[in-house]
Amino acid sequence: MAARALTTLLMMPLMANALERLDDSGMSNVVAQEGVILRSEYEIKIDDIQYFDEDNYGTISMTDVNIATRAQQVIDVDIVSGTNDRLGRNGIRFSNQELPIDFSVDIMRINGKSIGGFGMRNLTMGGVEPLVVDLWAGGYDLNNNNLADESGFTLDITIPKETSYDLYYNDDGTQLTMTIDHCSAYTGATCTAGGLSVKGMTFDVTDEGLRMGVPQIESGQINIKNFKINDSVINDITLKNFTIPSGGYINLGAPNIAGASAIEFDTYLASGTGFDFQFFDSSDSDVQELNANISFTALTSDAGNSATNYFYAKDSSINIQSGSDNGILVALGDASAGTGGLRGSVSAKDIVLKPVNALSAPVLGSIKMNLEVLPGSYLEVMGH
Amino acid sequence: MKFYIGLIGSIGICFLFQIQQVGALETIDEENLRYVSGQSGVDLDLNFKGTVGRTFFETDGNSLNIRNFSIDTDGSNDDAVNAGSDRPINFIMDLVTRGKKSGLSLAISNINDLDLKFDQFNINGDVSSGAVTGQMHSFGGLALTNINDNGGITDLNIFARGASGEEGLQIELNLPEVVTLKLSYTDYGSDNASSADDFSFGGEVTLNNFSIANSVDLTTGKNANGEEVGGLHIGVITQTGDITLSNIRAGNQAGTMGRLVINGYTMTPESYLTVQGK
Repeated sequence: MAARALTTLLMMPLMANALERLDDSGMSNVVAQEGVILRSEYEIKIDDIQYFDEDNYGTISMTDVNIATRAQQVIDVDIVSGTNDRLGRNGIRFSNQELPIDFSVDIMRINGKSIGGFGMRNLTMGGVEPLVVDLWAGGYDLNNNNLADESGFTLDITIPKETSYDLYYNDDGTQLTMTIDHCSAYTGATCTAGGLSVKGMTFDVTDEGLRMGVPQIESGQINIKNFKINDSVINDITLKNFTIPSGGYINLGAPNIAGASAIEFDTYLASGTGFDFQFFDSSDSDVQELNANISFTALTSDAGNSATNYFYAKDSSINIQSGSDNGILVALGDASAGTGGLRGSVSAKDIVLKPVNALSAPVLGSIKMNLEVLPGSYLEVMGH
Repeated sequence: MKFYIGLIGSIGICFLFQIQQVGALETIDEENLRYVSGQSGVDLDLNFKGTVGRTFFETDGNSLNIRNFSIDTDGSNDDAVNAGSDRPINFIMDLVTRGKKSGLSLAISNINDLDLKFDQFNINGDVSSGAVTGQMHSFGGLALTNINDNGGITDLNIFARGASGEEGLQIELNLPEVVTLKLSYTDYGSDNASSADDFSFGGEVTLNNFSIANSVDLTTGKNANGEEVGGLHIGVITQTGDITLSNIRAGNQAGTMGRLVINGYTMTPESYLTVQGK
């Protein structure tokens, strides 16, 4: 790469002679707006992607990874100055009305044992409104001065209402499939409302590792349709009316011990994070619903302190244990230090069982769980 | 649309020197003659240490700036301290013919400790050309250091495709069997006078058997309004290789986040990227 960069510099005069010249004045006459359009088609094949835990050499691998476009992908690229709630910020805007990309992993293995394959297909934006990705310069405002005077990235993504894609998981020929879309209202077969706006996802490097800000989401909808195993239908699920306040974040880092290898993580969800949950029993001609509002809040004893006013998991870690009988060990809290764990409340409010064609139904009640998962708790995922 | 590159004078002089050298060369028939003595061609030794203060792309009045892009062909030595101690990168340059295509062949060796880095990538931020004065609107900095060819040879061929009935250029790059380097992204804090609030993410990269061949053409296509506009078309002929990122580190932690290995990367032929104006 270094040699190529250096030599490209040296060869510029020759390249300029070999290529036809662009007429700049002519270009300015035919283009209505400055900026760049990228058109591409591609297929990327990777035999094997492996992740090694370097202190005990457990591995996760993905075999026969394929990323490919089904048709030409057109992306507009602009350098933009922010307005409204991004006033004073500068960034790069990527927008496209179609993203015809398929993705597949033939086999995923943990320490050589398969857990199956998975992928995404039929991704479409609908070709009506663009998917807009804004990449703003400057990340988390650590010094809290409301200026982008620290480097890093902030990502805003606007997903159009017509977007849909299929996800699948394949286990020895049996396939779990679902279709995801973001439409909240239809007129006939035409989607007239919906979409999802994800704002303020920050990316920074701190003394503890990588810091990712949990995005702020207000409203929006995610529909999980055609949720089935082979032809056995599990029914449809909708998550909507999202409320994710700003302030949540995830830290990913290494152990602070020389020679040790792991991914340590802390997850902080801003208190009040929630969404409406709908389960549709639509496997026959009658459609019943189970509705509830799910929310995550801090424990009452933690809510008075700004440092703990979160639903959070602290001092947690992911290790890939070596050996064919071991797997991915997700530990909540630091068992040896006796610190961290998971703390917070989960509630399901206003649970409703709605009969066929009813606009409303009596509320059954609400459920709230105060959680304190102590260090030493873990989940291990293995293949077989 | 305007594209500006600020280059220090020495690079410009280097371009002129290259043109004169190419003009003095004769075409030879064999593709790769670096191991054959007694043939014509040019050998170059390059020892370079310099910085491009500001490179920027501007559109609609907004500028994307790369600040202080620096190249040091031997980062572990410093001629300013021990004159003559730098190890130059060697270039063997020939004009070659392969079938109906002719072009320029470069064999590059003795890459021992090449450093490529820029201090800051910003949008409408610091536009000075000296030391970085602040981190407003900055994405951070990036460094590829200790680039080492491990005794191998990098082959770079640039063919004109016109004589074969095709158009444009064909650029081929075959890296040595093993190329190693260190990758580091730095996220700077607001205090420009201190590095205490600056933290890095990166690791050690190994490229194995990396090979790239692309076609490069100027083309014509339609924009969103249906108007004919020019474009730069980069087609994939081959792209293959293996990549390892080891000792992945972030921040001030003493341990690592593991190792990531990508084996058998291939971008299939007929893949392409076209860059157009609007």
